[in-house]
Amino acid sequence: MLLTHETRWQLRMLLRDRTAAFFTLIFPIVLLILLARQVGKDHSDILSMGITVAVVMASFPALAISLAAAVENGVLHRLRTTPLPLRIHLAGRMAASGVLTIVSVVMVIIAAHLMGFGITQSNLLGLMLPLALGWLVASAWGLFVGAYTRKVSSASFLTQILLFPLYILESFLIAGGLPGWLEALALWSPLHQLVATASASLGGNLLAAWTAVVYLTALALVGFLLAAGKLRTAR
Amino acid sequence: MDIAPNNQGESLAISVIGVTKYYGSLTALHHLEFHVNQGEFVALLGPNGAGKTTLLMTLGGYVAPDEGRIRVLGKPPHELGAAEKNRWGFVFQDLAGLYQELTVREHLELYRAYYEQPRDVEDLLKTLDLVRFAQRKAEDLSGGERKRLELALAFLGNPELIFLDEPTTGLDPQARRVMWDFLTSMKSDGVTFLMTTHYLNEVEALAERLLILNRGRLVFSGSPSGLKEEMRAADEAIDTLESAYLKLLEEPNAAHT
Repeated sequence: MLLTHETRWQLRMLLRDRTAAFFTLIFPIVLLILLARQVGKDHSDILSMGITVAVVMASFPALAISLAAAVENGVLHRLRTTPLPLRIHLAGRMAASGVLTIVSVVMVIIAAHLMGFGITQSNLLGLMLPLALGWLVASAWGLFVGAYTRKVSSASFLTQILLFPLYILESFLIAGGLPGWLEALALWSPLHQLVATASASLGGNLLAAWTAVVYLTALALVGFLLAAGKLRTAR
Repeated sequence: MDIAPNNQGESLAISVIGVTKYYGSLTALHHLEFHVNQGEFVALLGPNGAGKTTLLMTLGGYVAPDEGRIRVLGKPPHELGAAEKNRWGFVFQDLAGLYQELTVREHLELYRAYYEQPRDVEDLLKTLDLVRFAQRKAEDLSGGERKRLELALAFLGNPELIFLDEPTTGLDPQARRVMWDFLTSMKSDGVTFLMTTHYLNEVEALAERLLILNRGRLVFSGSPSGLKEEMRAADEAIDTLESAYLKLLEEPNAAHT
């Protein structure tokens, strides 16, 4: 009951932040359109990239920046004086970002459909696991960055310097325009592993991406452990 | 009953025994010892840096003491659970703890759900003269309006114990009067207060007992009239609480004992 209440209010606050709303709901579609303009590229790769960006943007920066704001403004400080358990508050933040993730992914899929990408119902069902995994990884690291930076400006800076190189790397990787050493590095990026998982799911063969699933699960666990350590002392 | 009685059989809301807190080589709190009875209005005074906020943060469980024992509502602060947090409220000095995107009314609606027996939102808005600002977002509130919202949030859960850290600093006289009236009505309902302030007229209007800190030490515990009498014994010219307070802080033992 409290979790539903907290989720509803956190979602309301996320949607009132116009910058966050733009980067969560519009940016993935813009990226999808730009990638689709590259002639000869595989639709499945491009759609996987669009979906991955939608998942990451709705969780990682949204959680990192809003949590840093909560620490900076003293919201967490105040919440600790109320009967609301902090874990319910944080779960509400994560659930709100989960709702935004679903909306953003649906918008990307609709945009891809309108652009003539071949999408079947069975493909979409297979996307559930990569979506959940992506949301968990992005949420865990979003919570960690928010608790670690404790300031909106630092959280915003950190999310940008982490995300944009990853996006550029992945875009050039899909386009096949990276030198060998950089390609080897890009293959280990969480974004690439998410794209690979989403791509395997869209192709109906998630088992092919089992190493990526293991890698991402481990990454989510590490992120949550680090975030929990930081949040225990965050005021 | 989870509130321990004192020697006189009265119930204690706060009990502090031999509490010391160090920050490196600085002793922020030095072997403090006092109790606050249920229903008492206690003012915590002292110059800047005396340790008032550190003491409140320690009582709230934000800062752990290095020595001594604290009980708030019968439990050590770091062990307070949801049941106890339903019974207390806080107003902080610097950290407003407000969501910038939410309006005044939305704040109260959001926080109301956390408590077992919350106060009525409309009633609280009226009592604290916040109806005019109810639809205004926190980011657009003035300092005084923000402070009143913080007070409303602290009282939302119908608490029996309230910690106020300089709640009227920066308020205009009219807003301060609204707050005084509210605190007086809460006091008559039996709420226990521990309030830090620099306004001695506020202390005279509201507090039954003073705790005066200086350099982390408790240098006075007693009633406002008791402080005046005690200081008048040393200097007959003392006729106000302010002059008595300043006289106390001038005394060598106030700074060093």
